[in-house]
Amino acid sequence: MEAPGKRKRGNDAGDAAAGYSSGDDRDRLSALPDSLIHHIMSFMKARQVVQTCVLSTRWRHLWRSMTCLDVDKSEFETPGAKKYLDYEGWEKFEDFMDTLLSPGNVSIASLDTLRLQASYGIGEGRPASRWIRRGIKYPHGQLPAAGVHRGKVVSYNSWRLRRLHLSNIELCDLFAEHVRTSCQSLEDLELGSCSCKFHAIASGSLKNLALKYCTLYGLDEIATPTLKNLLIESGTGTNLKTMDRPLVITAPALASMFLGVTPHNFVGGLSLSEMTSLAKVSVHLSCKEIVDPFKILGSCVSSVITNLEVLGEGSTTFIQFNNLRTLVLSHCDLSDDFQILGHFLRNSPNLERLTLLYCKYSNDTKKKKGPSKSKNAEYTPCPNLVDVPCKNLKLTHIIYKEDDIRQLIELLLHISGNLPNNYIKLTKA
Amino acid sequence: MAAADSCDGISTSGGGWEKTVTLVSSDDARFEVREAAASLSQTVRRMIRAGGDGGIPLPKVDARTLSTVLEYCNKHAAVPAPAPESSSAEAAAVDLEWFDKELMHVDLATLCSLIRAADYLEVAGLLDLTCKTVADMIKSKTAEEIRQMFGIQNDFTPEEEEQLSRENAGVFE
Repeated sequence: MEAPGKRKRGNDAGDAAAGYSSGDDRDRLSALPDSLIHHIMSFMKARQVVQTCVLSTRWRHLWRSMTCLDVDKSEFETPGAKKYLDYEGWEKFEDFMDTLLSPGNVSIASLDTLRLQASYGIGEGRPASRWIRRGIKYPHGQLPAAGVHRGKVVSYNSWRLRRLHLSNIELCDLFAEHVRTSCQSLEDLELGSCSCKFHAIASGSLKNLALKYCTLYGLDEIATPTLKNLLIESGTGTNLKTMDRPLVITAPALASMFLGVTPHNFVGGLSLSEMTSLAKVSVHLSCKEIVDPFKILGSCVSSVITNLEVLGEGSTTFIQFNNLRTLVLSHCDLSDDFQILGHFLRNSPNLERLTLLYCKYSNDTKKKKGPSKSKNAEYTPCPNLVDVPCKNLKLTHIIYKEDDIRQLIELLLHISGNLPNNYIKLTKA
Repeated sequence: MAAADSCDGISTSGGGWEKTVTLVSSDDARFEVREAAASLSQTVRRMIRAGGDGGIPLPKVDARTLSTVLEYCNKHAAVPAPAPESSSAEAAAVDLEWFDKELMHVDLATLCSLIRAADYLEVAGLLDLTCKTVADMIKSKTAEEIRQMFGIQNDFTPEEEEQLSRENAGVFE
């Protein structure tokens, strides 16, 4: 990281310009202090930032002291080349990264924000993982050859990072362990389309965690006492050995949770421990390519629910979401006599807003046409909903397309005595 | 944004019962602003808490720049927090975005003054907006185009130029 002597000049220029009403009113940009130029640079991709070094002596070393780095492989793509065959682009990207992270230039350990987006195709994220690995093992640029610091994994290798976003990168236990022990400032971790070959994410500082379209090789634990927002979007779990193990989430401070459920993730279910601040849960079922999506999706949600029940001391009590105020069920299969809905309502005594977005309500989708299927003309709601205690429910918003929502409405009317303040809003999209 | 004749740092305007504060620019122009808007500036917020009379002096910001900053603050503080997912929230966001875009139609000198002012006043949203505007101007331009746009003098000696291109060895081109 150190490029002493070199960086001095940049700082001096910034300080000298602090009295900014000086005679030269051209080039006001260069006259800004370093910190503000760095802030401007934080909105640029790394390659563009580094290229500013040729502008003038003022700009020559500014990029070296950047604290926010946004590297995107797509900046290096050869125009017209197919992504999967663009070896030239990948080489440029590799050379750039190797140079950027070489001693004296930029060190991951001193950054505040790092976004690193590799891309699929060549190497599938393995080559990119070495920059992370080196950043962990040799945070200040010592090369493996130096040997002096070998095996000496102590606190000096800690990262100052607050935000870390990685895409298309393979990550192993070394990474997870580093996050747990040596990233005391990390608040924001987002992994997109990464191969996650670690079993647990634990942190004492994380506030936001997002796993988007990741392949999870046996992740079965998320434990962070500070976590406020959790998002798990799609992705797959492919480790057959741990398929039947639930993902255990211990995040007592969690305020909002988004789960994008597919038939391929949460196969072992989900297990949540007490979350007294949880105010917003959003469950999104996305599954277009499945032949009989509703059936599988129904079982997905059921498995989530089942595991929640198991956690409730083994009895039939479902975990209580005492602070749950807003619940959005999006694309959910509720055709199980509203069992799932019932579970949520009964265990969320302080729910204020319930939004049902494009959910499925009737059992037969194929023969949806014609209301002739009303064989239970005398509809009796399932008993588990009669005692729903949502006194504070103010708004039930049902957004639907072609679905038969008659049963749902009847059900809500039937239990309206328990929902004294509930407005029902229907939106046909 | 009429200049206030009140000398109180904090006064209550007659009509709306909304608290206002008086800000004083480096060139002694006075601005009476709703406290909610002025508090978007962390610097001002701290000074309000510290109290004092005669208005809040902002010796590093001139009147012209301050009026633009306050235009931003007034607009952004006026937005009530509507229920998420509602269509009015979306409309408000679109409106704000449009407002921000319009506000950034200024010359470079003004833009740089705004960056300094937003930094000094700690108006995070405006700092991001102005810096992003400059970043967007730099993006996808050649070095020569950037120099021309911002009036940057290429002050490298030929030796330095040569060294620079050797150091980069094509990697950073």
